[in-house]
Amino acid sequence: MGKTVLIVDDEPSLIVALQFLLEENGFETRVAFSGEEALESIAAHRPDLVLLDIMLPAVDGFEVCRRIRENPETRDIRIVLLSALGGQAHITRGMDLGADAYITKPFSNAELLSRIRELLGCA
Amino acid sequence: MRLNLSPGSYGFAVLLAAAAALGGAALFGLLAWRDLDPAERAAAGELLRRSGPTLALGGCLVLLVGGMLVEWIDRQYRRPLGRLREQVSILRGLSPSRRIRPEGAAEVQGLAAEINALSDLLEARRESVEERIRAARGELEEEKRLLSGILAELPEGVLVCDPEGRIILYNERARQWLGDPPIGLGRSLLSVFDPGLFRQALEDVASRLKRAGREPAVSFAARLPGGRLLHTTMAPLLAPTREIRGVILIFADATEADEAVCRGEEALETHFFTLRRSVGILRTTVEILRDAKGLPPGKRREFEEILDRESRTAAQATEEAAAAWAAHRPPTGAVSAMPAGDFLELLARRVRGLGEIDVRREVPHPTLWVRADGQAMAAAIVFLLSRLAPPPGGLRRIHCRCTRREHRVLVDLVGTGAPPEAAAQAAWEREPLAVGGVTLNTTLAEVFRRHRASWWVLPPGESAEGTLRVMLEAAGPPAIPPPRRTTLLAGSRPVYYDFDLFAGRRAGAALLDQPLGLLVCTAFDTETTGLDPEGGDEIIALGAVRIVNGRLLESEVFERLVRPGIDPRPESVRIHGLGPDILRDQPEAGAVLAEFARFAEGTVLVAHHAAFDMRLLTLQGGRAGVRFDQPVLDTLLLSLAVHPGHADHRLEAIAERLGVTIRGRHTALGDARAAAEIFLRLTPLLEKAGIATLAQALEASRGALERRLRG
Repeated sequence: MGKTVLIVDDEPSLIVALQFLLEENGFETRVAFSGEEALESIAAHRPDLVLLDIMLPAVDGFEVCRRIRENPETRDIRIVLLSALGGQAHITRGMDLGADAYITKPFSNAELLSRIRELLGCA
Repeated sequence: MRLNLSPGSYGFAVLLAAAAALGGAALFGLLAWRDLDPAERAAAGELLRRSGPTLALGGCLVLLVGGMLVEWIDRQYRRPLGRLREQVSILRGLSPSRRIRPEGAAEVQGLAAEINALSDLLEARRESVEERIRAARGELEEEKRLLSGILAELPEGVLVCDPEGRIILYNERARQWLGDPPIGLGRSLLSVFDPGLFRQALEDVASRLKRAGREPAVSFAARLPGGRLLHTTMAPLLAPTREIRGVILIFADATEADEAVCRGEEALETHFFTLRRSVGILRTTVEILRDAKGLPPGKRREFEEILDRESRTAAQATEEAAAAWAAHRPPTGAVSAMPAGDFLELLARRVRGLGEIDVRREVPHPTLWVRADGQAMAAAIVFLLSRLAPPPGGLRRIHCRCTRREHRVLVDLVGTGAPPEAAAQAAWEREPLAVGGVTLNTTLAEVFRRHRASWWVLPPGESAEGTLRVMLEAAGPPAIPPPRRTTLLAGSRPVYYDFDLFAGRRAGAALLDQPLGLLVCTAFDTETTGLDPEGGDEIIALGAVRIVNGRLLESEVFERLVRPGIDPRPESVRIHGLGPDILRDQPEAGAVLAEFARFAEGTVLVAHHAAFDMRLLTLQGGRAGVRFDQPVLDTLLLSLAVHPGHADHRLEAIAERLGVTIRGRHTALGDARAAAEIFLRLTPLLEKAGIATLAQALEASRGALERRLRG
């Protein structure tokens, strides 16, 4: 059975594209458009990996990341931060808060897939 | 010839001499008579009988010649000498340019000529001294004008104040920037400038001075209540003993630059964000279209629409980013390179100020420098710490360290506890920064924005406690050391303005013991709707002038009209001419009194018949929540204390008595100025009467009032 990836982004176009890409490559996907939705989705169906945008309304990606790591039940979910926020500060902060990888938009699909496979041990 | 016959006088001496001559002649005759035998006595008697008339005539002649001699001496010596003495006395006191008219004997005339010569010499000397004084004064004035000119032309604001913030000197630009409420000599800077920031900077300067070879001037950004952002440099003025006697503050207006940078950076950030996002979507979609095999036509169409939409968005964002970049200005302001070690030291000192906290810090490598406005960033971090672990409980132990991460420096404060909720965090960003009971005029968000810095809290793990991590920009050490800005005051007074204000003075007992001539006073007067404050009459005009170091400062006046709650009474309008029409568009009493309170803050109030005006200030100020609790001097009572014999102590009467011309009687400012001038003229008279200090003046006023009330 394929691994489950939760895609969290407030941009519907990207969600459509990513969903297609991941499903094409044998992953199951779930989607969330906000931080709260993501946390609810994780509580209901534990994913193997979260593709997490940082700039989300209300609860941002950093906060979601921190909460995932704080909860013993979700602590070992893989997190890939996916953001249009470049810059040292955001990357350092993201990694500080427990993200496994930080990918800056724009990225290549091949790069994204290889990082996901690497993190999920299905390379 | 009139002779004074009292003992010791010239007339008495003449009379005594005549009596002695007659007595001597009689005694000689008697002694000679005793030595004669009877025959000789008979012969002598015969001789006397025959030559008696001749002898008597001779005696008379001797007396006459003697009298004439006495008269001659009197005219030639005694009277000229007496007049000479009077003239010398006039010459010495009243009229040094007058010369003595020679008269009497040659010796007396010679003496007068010598005295005249001596007077000429003295006057020549005096004129030369006066000439030199005039020249020196002229040079001093010239120097003063030059210095004023330079200060006025400087693009920076310059202000000198003592360590308590009392203003000693300022230039026009400083007045413009700081001027609401208006600043002035002798007043406190801290009514317009953040007191917490001022004290912290002063503390920092003092701490830097203790370290040899350290530049003691500090730079920081100060946000004024009106919103202006001033890049401020504080440098100490040192006494020869190296104690801080005052500070020079140099201001540069960073408001516009800051706003431009802020707008520019925000715009750039937004456009880049949009661009990245769009290009990200484009790339992902294009790659799917390229790589996916057997894409259903519906899906393909959907992706093509995404491409169309996102490429437009990306194009627009690119244009806007280019425009924002063109308008971008490099950052200015107080954020400058400083050694990370200095910053940690400052930070540790501030953290200790939070309470009983065990603060340890690691000394970073000397080549590690950060870009920071040390004062602001330390305040921001301390604020965050106090929010992360609020008292009671609070922080017990904090460990500070700095590490380099590429172009950034991470400042870690270990020991803060768990991270805050996002909502709380967002609220802290916006609330006014409050540190150590003092609210600074800025926000966390502003400080971090200016630094291009960010912060977050690392959650406590098994081994580590919670850590506040602040990421600052790294900087290289500046190639050239900054110039030394310390100014050492010479032993004598500097040439400019009232440096006497340096003498350590505080409120309370020290103020009470201050000589009247050194008091900083606000002389004021009100015009009112009528004469019955208790019955509802109100202030309609308020005028005030300032007195500093025995001088009336023409440049520092306060003059406002007030819109009253009731119409002025016609009999009052006849006096001051302020009718309802003029007052209709004026501000209300609350606003004007609040402004006046700031103008008069830290000064002694002076007014004529102050009881009336104070009653109004108390009644109307009370309603607006404004208090006037400084000492008050009443020129009416002080006049009573100096001239208890005079019956009339109205303003005009005192003014006339003391030679004060009132310009603008029955205008608030005119009467305030008159009260000020009267107070200045009264001061020396009060001193002569043994009333030298504020406490003594208040006591004398009380006494005068009591006497007056007893009638």
